[in-house]
Amino acid sequence: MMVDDDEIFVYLQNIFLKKSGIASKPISAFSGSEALKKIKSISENNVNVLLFLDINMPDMSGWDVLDKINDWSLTEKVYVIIISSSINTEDKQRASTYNNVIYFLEKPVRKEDFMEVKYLKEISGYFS
Amino acid sequence: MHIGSAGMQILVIEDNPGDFVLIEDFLKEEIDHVTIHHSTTFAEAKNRLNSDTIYSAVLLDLTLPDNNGEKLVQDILNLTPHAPVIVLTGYTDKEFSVKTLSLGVSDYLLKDDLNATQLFKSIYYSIERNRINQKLRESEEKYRHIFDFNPLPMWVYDFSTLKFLNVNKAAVKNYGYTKKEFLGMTIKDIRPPEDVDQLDNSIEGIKSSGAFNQGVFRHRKKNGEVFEVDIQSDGIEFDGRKARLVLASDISKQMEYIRAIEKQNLIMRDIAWTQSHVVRAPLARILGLINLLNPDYDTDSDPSEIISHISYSAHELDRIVRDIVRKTENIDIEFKNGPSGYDGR
Repeated sequence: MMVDDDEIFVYLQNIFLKKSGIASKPISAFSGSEALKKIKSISENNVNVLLFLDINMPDMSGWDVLDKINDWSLTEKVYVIIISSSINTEDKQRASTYNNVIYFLEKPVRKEDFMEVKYLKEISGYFS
Repeated sequence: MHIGSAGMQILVIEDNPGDFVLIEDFLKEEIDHVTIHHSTTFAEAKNRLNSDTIYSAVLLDLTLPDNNGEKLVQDILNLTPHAPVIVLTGYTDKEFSVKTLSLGVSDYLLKDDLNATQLFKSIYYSIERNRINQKLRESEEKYRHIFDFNPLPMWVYDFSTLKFLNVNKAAVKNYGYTKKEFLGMTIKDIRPPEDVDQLDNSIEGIKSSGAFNQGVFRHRKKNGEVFEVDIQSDGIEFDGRKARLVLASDISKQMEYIRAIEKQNLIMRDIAWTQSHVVRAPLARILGLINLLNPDYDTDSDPSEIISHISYSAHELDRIVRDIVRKTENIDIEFKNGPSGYDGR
């Protein structure tokens, strides 16, 4: 699942996720609250989620989404990869304080970046 | 020895012709260039002392036909602010002669003992002592001027009662209280009430650490205006009391300027944040979309759709950059106007 308020970026990411073989039918959400709703229903079916999460979104930021996932004790079911245009080290440090954040991608992203994601040790098992 | 180019000018106030001749002889015997002026009454002496002649010394007999005793001494001293006055007297007046010294007379001589050497010595001693006292007075005045006319507000306060003991003109001008009002106040009265605790702490600090102290405080003028001051103070003795001399520089303009700069910094940080997040978003999108147009990149996406996305993103980027330029221009305007009243000096 990908969460980003930027529709064109979602379009782009959709192509990369398919081409890199990570997901044949990625789920998109355009706000934090929409993402949380979808995560809740998916996790009820005991299915794990790989979440590509943008940080800067109006209303609910990526950090808010991460905090909610924590509150709902869903950290073991939701793996998070942060995708942001942010280049602040402050953000990188903050991202590392969440246990379920497994990777940090900086925009612009290429197909190769998604290929690397497949080999992250936490989730490589799902793609073999 | 400091004798003017005209030589020594000595005024002898003596009504007894015999005594005068004696004194005149002694003076001429010991001093080469001497002009002797003679008055036989107080009225005459008064005229001479009010004339343009600058006397090196005045010799005064204590009994004149028109004035005598303490009043005579007092009157002559008032007429002779710059030259030493030496009293000539007989044995019977010895006790009173001693008293004249406390009135401000330089020396007294007993006529019956008088000789040339003694007279000469007394005159020279008196002139020298007078010259030194004069210098001391000038130096005291100079230091008082450094305090009184200092462009920075200064005052002295009693360290135990905290009462103002002296304030200079700049303090009167800056704080709006008259000197008389200041002298009826304590240093707590020029603080905003909520800062009096801070003052107490600072005084406790001085008590334990002693000497020099420096710090930034808030002071209040008579009109209620509160402003920031840099205070420097040190311990002194003032009329035998333990006191502190304070120098207060108004730094409110500088502080206002610093705050304005800090405000601009916040705006700058805001712009830097925008650069990092908002500018990069459409830019990153364009870079990603261009990737998709690469023929080596095996995608089934429609090129015209990709180009329309690129065009949209480029326009968004343009809008954001214009926005940043506008924000930066606003900062320039704020700098030109400066904080209220700051004239750049």
